[in-house]
Amino acid sequence: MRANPWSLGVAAVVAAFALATLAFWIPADIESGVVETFRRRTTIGDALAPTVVTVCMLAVAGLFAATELLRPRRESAPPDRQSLIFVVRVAAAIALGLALMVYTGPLTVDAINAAGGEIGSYRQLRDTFPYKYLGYLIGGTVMVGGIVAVVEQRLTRSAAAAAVLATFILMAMYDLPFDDILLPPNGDQ
Amino acid sequence: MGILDHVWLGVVAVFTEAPIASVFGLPISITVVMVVLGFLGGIVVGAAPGLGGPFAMAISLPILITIFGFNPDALLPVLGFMIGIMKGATVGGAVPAILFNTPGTPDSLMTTLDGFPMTKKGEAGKALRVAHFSSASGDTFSDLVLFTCAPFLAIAVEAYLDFPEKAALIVLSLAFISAVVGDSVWKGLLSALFGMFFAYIGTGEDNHPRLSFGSDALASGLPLIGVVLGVLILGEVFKALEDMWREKRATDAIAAPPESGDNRLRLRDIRRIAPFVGLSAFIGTMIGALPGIGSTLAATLGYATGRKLHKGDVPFGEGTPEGVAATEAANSAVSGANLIPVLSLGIPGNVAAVFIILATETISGFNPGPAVFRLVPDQINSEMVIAFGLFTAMVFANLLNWTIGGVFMRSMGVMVRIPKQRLLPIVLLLTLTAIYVQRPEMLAIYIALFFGFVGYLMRKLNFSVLPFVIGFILANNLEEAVRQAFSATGSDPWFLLSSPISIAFMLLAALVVVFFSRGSGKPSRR
Amino acid sequence: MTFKPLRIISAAAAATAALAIAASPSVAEWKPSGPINLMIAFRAGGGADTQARLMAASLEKGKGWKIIPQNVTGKGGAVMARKLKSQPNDGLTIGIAVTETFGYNILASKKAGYSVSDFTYITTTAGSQMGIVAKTSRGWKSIHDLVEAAKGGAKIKFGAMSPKLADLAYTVEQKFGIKLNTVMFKGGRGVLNAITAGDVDAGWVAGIQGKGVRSGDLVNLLSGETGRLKVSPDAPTLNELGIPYDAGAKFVIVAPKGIPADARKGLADAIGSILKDKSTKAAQFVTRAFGGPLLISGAALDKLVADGIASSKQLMEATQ
Repeated sequence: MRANPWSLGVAAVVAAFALATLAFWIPADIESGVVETFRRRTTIGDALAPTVVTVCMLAVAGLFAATELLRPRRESAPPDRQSLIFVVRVAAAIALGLALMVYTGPLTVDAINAAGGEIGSYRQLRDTFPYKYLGYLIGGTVMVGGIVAVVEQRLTRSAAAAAVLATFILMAMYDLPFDDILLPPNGDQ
Repeated sequence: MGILDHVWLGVVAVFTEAPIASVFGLPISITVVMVVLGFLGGIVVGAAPGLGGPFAMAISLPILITIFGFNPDALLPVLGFMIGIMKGATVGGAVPAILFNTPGTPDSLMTTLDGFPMTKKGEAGKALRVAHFSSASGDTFSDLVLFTCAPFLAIAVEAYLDFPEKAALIVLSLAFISAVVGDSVWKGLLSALFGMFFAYIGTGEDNHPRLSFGSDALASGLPLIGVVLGVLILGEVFKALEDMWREKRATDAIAAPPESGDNRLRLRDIRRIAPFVGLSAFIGTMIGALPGIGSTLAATLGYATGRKLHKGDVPFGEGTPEGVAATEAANSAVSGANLIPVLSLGIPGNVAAVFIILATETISGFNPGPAVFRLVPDQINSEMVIAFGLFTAMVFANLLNWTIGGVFMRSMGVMVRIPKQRLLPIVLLLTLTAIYVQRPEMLAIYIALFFGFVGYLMRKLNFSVLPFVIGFILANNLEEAVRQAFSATGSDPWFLLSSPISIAFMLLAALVVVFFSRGSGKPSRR
Repeated sequence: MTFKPLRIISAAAAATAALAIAASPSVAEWKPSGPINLMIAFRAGGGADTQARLMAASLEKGKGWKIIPQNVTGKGGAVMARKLKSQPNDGLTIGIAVTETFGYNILASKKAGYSVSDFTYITTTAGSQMGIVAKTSRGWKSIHDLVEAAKGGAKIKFGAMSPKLADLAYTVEQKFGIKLNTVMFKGGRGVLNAITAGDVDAGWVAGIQGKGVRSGDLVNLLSGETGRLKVSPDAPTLNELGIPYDAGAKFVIVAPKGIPADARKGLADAIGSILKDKSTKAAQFVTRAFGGPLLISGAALDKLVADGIASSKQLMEATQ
């Protein structure tokens, strides 16, 4: 049996990551060294722990590759093209849901203000009914409904209803009983 | 104040503090209510498709903290609820495994081997009763060991462990968990090392947050709850969704065959399974008490040992009650004993323990470590009282398990009919909301989703996620212990080898890795 | 956090709140135009965090404001400071940290990412009761016994929780010509645990030692404040030893620079009034944990911050 290409690939990626981290990332992005001597006192610097961990990664990746070459084992279900399609579709559903979650509220408020509503900024309204719920309800529904639609490979009315209902229940569960909690995206405003 | 005074105060704290109602003039404390709710909720969640104790604990922790706050008063109700879930989900987890051959957690994987064949033979009722009896027995044994041994063990630990030994012990635990969980030592180690590496981003003592690319977003480190929930929960959600997407199969296709014959648990059944229950309970407890080893190994070992011992007519794997008993007793016995290393060292061994640690990190007034069981002359050690309160809650949950657990569990077969592809996206939104509520910025959600993808990839490539999570949690403790050991010994570069105990721990860590990497001869899972 | 099981969300609730505000006597008083984010630079669950959360709850109860607390921890408050400075300066985002964050910590860092002038300082809330603490069973009565032990050749392990405190320990070493093995911990709780466990011999603790000192298990060897400690009036101060610094820290509420003057005053007055009102939970907690409120605001607070920078500069030069 030949060595599993996925295992060797993982080992190679890990080794490359470890080398790059040791050569560039750690020296550039850590202030102190592995060991620091400052005022006659020698202490351990911030670089020690990441360096040791990365060196270990490099060593383990090597040993992993070696065992795989000597004694190959079958991988149960490695990722394939299908996985990629699935990931892209689910990621699209999540991204669309999150985008709606973040922008629905502020855009609605801007629109009302532009139409002469004078209701103040979204920052001031982020804890005011109904503006505070807009993003979560619409974004959450689209996210849940979208993923269900991806998995079921069709969009049914019952799935859409379940998504609306579930988002509404989650919203009520967090927002009604607790006074000083902000639903997404209101904490960022 | 002696240990017994603390035991008594712990019991009193659980049953009388903050009463919220009274029945026949007896006050019902909030902790008691929370244990009951957690236990029943745990059974429901354990029986639900694709969910398990960790899901329930992950989702409820932020909610509980919002309700009870961060003060020490919150400890017993919150931890009581978590313990209830932990025990309920362990019992409930056997339901889908037995009825539908779908284990909710890896722990109940071995339960399917004999449980589902029993269902096919029309013995579902008996299988569920055997599972419940064995699970409750293993749990009882484990709790008794915890109650009697934890204080003495912790005191011994305290007497012998200084900074260098603590650092060496964490190294040993990480080596152990990487080597034992999953299908390859090297993969386990890589998993743990990556978990540690991520923990080092943004932390450290310099004013410049290390490895943060100068970004303020990473400056306070990756949020513990986002990373842990991402890898453990979201990763599992994505993987399960993909499996369903691939199958595209109608979910209500599986139906359990009707029961036939004698489905009651008779005294002779108990006599038959008793040796298996006893042996597995012992194995589970021993494994639980070692720092950093999970219940999955206990279940596997319990089943394997039972199979070697078994001489009945129906062999293991073809639907024998002894098989169900051996697995369930072992995986349930882990939970109690697992709190020994959690409370006395702060080192978690399985996912449930990870969430107990997470709770104590968030709420003040209880720091797992040797100080918990320290006796102070003429004073009450409030942490020890909490610890014994915790034990009391465990014993109370165990009593619930014996009394109402079985009936409630057998009524849960209906949970399996919830369509998983609808439930999991909701779990996703629920988890993201729970994370946001704890840390109100979208960045926390993005981080959790990123680690969800990491968890998904790890599952696809057969990397065990538990070493990753435990590596992430222990990495900064390890670094701190190492720094402190180094400073306290006056910058001795050989501090890790400064005492016989730390030398022994380091040698053992190396031995564990070498031993498990040779044959890879452990029972393969999956 | 508050838990209200039967909260009704509707315009009615908002209307009631509006009525309550309109009905209060001082209509001219500044009030926030929306909910206030409170960034807490301390770990959730500790004493400092509890103080901030109780203050938020008391402000909601007493003033009808809406406060949303959030922990932004790391690097002795620097992470919070960097985040806070780029927030809008409308008084709807404020932060709580210690004075050290806006003094010593800026100087000690190669690239702090924020400066003293990036903020408007609103008010202090309470001060520490910093002391060098040891177990009574160690047999030391004051700092001089520790010095004697060190001179006698004992290897002394010493706990500290910030670089400034490590520096101050070093000034003690310089003064007496001794050597301490300084071990760093995260927070005073960590130092205190290590002292009780015997992992270190002595160390800085900021106030939580009070209980143990009163019961006789612990002893304050030295006061790190400008004056003597409330629980240990016999322990000498750093100044009395001839070391011209102090280790005391004060909790301070800050906002991004340039918030409107009425918002600055309004916030300071509101926080001051709830901390002075002995019936509020915040005031009770501050009294129990930090020996009572300490309210410095306006120009006096600006001077305090400036003085802090000046003395930190001296300390850093002296320990270089």
